[in-house]
Amino acid sequence: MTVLEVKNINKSFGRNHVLRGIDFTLEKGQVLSIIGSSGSGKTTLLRCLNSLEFADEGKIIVNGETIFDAAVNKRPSDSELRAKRLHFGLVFQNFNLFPQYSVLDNLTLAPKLLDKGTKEEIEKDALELLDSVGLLDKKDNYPCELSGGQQQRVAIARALAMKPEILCFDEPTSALDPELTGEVLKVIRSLADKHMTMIIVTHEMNFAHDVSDKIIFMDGGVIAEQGGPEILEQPKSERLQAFLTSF
Amino acid sequence: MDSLFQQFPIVFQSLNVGFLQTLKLFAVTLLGAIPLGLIISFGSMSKFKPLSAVVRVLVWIIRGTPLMLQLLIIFYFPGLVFGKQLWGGGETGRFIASAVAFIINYACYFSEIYRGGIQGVPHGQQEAGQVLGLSKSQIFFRITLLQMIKRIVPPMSNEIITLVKDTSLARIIALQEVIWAGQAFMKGSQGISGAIWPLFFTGVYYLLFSGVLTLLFGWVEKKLSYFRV
Repeated sequence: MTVLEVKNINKSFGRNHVLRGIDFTLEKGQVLSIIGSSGSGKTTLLRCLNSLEFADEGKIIVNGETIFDAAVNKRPSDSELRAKRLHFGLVFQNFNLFPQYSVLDNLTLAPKLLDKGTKEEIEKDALELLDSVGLLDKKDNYPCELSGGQQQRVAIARALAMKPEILCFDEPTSALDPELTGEVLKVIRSLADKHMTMIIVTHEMNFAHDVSDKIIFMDGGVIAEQGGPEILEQPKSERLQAFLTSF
Repeated sequence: MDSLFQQFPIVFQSLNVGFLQTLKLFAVTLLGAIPLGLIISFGSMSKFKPLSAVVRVLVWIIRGTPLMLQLLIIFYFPGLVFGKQLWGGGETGRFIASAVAFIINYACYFSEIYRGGIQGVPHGQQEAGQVLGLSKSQIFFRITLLQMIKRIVPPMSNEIITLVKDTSLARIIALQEVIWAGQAFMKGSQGISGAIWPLFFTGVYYLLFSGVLTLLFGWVEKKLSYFRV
């Protein structure tokens, strides 16, 4: 079942044409990795999906419902926008945990404010999520007391607490020391095993190869090549070949 | 009356009355300047350019000229130019004029501190709230506000302790605050004249009061030290 259709997304910042006609689809339960050098538009694409940026052209369709259409001129109201955002979750490169809240409160803040269940249900869910990322014992700690890897695992749990249909990761391990990336990748891998639909922007080629059903290579704002993980072994385009040799 | 022991009760009582006026000016200034500063900071950050330009010029003028000059202008200007005593006569009039000058002056300083505090909260915090589906007001009140408060406590405590001592500037329009009360005993008052120690003694009031504030702000900072921004 197709959960996401992205059609002809174009986005410019001033004279800088960052995305030039992005098209792809994603099936439910699949993992899509987006690779490419810095400045190729990967992050901007994720931000468009999460309505943090708005494309100048194109459509985004989730489960058959058009959640974004640049041809419709009307700006969505704040509440419409919020409803659309909830199809997606986003894990940031630098975590963005809320520093004044404990780990548990970071997870429960949004579900409680948005009335996603009773207090008991929300807390029970949050504790289960913390357990699944291996941080149940840190529930009362504050973000500043955690390592980067632990903070990122909390951030993943926080995104999952809103039960998004598609979870997006924006270079989730780029801000981490090399010895801490493993624990975060392990969590993402376990989500893939549970068939969570995910879009991962990453520079971890081995990880992308192992975990993905589909890989998109972006270059200069276009999808230069896409396919299964095998394209990392046998790239067809010269640009992907050149990109992979840099690793 | 030559003996210090004889002078002390009279002076103490008089200085207390003066210090009460100091405290009143301090409290009224804070009550007015804290919210007015927020309005000014929103004005200076406005996306409507003419508004932010006007506000920034106002802040520049107020921060760029002495508070003493502002006090004199605000107190004398209406009477001299329009021939109308806007503030009314007597101690009440002088107090109101002082309060207006102090509120405007401190609101401008506070507005810059607020602006720094608001702009200092990383944009990622707001985006994290947005992708979790929170509304703008939920993001402001539940996420940004406390981080902003934590950032502005040290510079605000600095300004507020400065305000304690700046209240003495109201002496220039003869507001009967604690220094005015102390000075009176040099010229002669209640049978005491030529005494310099009451003026020096006013320093004790300032020291004690700023000491209490220092402890208070230290306590607030400690309360907010459980998280890092």
